[in-house]
Amino acid sequence: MNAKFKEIYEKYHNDLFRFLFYLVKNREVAEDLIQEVYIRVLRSYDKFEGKSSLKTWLFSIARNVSIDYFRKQQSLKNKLLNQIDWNRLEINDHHPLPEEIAIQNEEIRTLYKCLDACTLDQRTVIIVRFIQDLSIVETAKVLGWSESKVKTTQHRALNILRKNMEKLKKKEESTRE
Amino acid sequence: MNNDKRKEDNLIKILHQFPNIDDKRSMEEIYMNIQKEMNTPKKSPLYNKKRIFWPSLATVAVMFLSLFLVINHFNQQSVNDSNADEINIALDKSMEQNGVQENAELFSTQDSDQVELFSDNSQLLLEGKKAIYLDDLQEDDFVVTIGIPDMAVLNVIPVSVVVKKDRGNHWLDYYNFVYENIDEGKLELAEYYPYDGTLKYENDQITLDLMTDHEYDYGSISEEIFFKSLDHLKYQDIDSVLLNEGSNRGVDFSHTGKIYEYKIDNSRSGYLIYQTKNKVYLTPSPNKFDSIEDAFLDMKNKNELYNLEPTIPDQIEFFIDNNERETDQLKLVFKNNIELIESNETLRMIEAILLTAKDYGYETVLFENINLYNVGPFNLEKPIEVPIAPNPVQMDKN
Repeated sequence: MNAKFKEIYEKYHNDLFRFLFYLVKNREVAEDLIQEVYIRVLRSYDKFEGKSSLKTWLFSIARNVSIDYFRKQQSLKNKLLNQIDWNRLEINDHHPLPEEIAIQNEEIRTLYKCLDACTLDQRTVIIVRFIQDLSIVETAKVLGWSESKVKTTQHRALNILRKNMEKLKKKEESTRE
Repeated sequence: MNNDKRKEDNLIKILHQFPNIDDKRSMEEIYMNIQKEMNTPKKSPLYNKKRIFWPSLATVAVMFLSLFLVINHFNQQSVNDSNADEINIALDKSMEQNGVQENAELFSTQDSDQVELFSDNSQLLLEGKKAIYLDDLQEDDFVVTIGIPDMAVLNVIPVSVVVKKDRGNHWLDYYNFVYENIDEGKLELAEYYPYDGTLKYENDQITLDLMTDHEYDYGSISEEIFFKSLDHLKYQDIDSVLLNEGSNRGVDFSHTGKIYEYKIDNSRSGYLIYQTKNKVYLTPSPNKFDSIEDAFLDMKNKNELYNLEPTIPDQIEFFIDNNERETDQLKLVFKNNIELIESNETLRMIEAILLTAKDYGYETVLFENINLYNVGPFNLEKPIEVPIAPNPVQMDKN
């Protein structure tokens, strides 16, 4: 077994898988995508110059792989007719709640659903910052953005999540009444 | 702490509690899957190169063997004719020498013959030039360069149309003519022009009056693509464009904010390959660099996110001659470490370097120590003038 693969798997596999899972919200897709991440990593490992940390490099590759996945999902027709905006792309999740989420408390379940209201970029920032616990500086490196852009996107994403949580709560309260 | 901030902090707290999601497969299973995937052969440009290179090695071997046999033959002959008179011996010797010499000449010119052979055959195979050069133009020609988004709306590809000057009085007339008549679909790019508005020249300033229902602020990508399209006016040395919406000054973009005067982005980069099913374009890399060295390094890398291919093979090594830095000529000294052949790949590399050199302000490029005399229309032994604009395309109505 390739030593590099083993090293990366042992140190980062769980983090990368969780990142991809929350991004695509589908276990099977996350499984395929993480394989693609490894392929790209092994093919370009020699070119990794160590300018960023291995961790941020791996996350940036995982992000690129997920963008490619979402891009492939859109038909050409949709792209052109709807002027698809990858930053604003809202990913609607039609899958039932995964087992791991279904057994959590109501707040977690609702917030998981509310992630759908975020754009791909916003969702990425939320996952990297608060589920993966990367710093603003690390997140900026993963996304290739400025720190201020990370902060702005994070602020907007949290705003959207807050508003949608309130909306969902009100909706649930009204259905109970 | 206000209420919203408290709620945000609470959200972050919940996010931190999101459960771990485990990949249920074993490390071995995943490794096996990726091994399988990686071992599936993929078409590489180097693969073709090797296939072309091997016959040339075989040719050299055959020539070498022929030379060896000819020398042997003459040696044998001189031994057999040992009873011949002096004149005959002299003749034999002379023939032997000539024979060797002829073959030696054949051998020594083998490389250049082969280059000729390649160029003769490959002229038919080589695709057209990827840029417009001064020599391509007549006096009444005007080059219009516009940026068209690709089908995935990721890149804005510069394409250039040669328009006759009798189409109008101002360069903007030629631009508007191209905006109205370009068939982006034929170029396998996205339909984009004409603008939802009017581009005009007033008081020494270019102004774009957008219609109130324009869709350039639909999303941040729409805005980005719109601004990138305007950036192509840099080919006319334009620094900025005034923007209006309806009868109001300025345009309110939902992501960028209100813009009255858009400053053209003049940041520079190397050129990469954007390929559609039937078309190949050279397009600026999304990575911008102050130095041309960095731009050249970037040209060796595939940009997966933007679906762009490298123009300089990774094995090619060259450096910039420092003495030439202050002049208009860019001198690239090749390390001659790789066998270059006359191919589309080489032609694209040369033109991508020329286009990059143009963007960094050079007027000519000298390819020194490159082991190829010419590629396509370019004589690599002399300095080559940088092009006027990238990606010449034909327009039906012209």
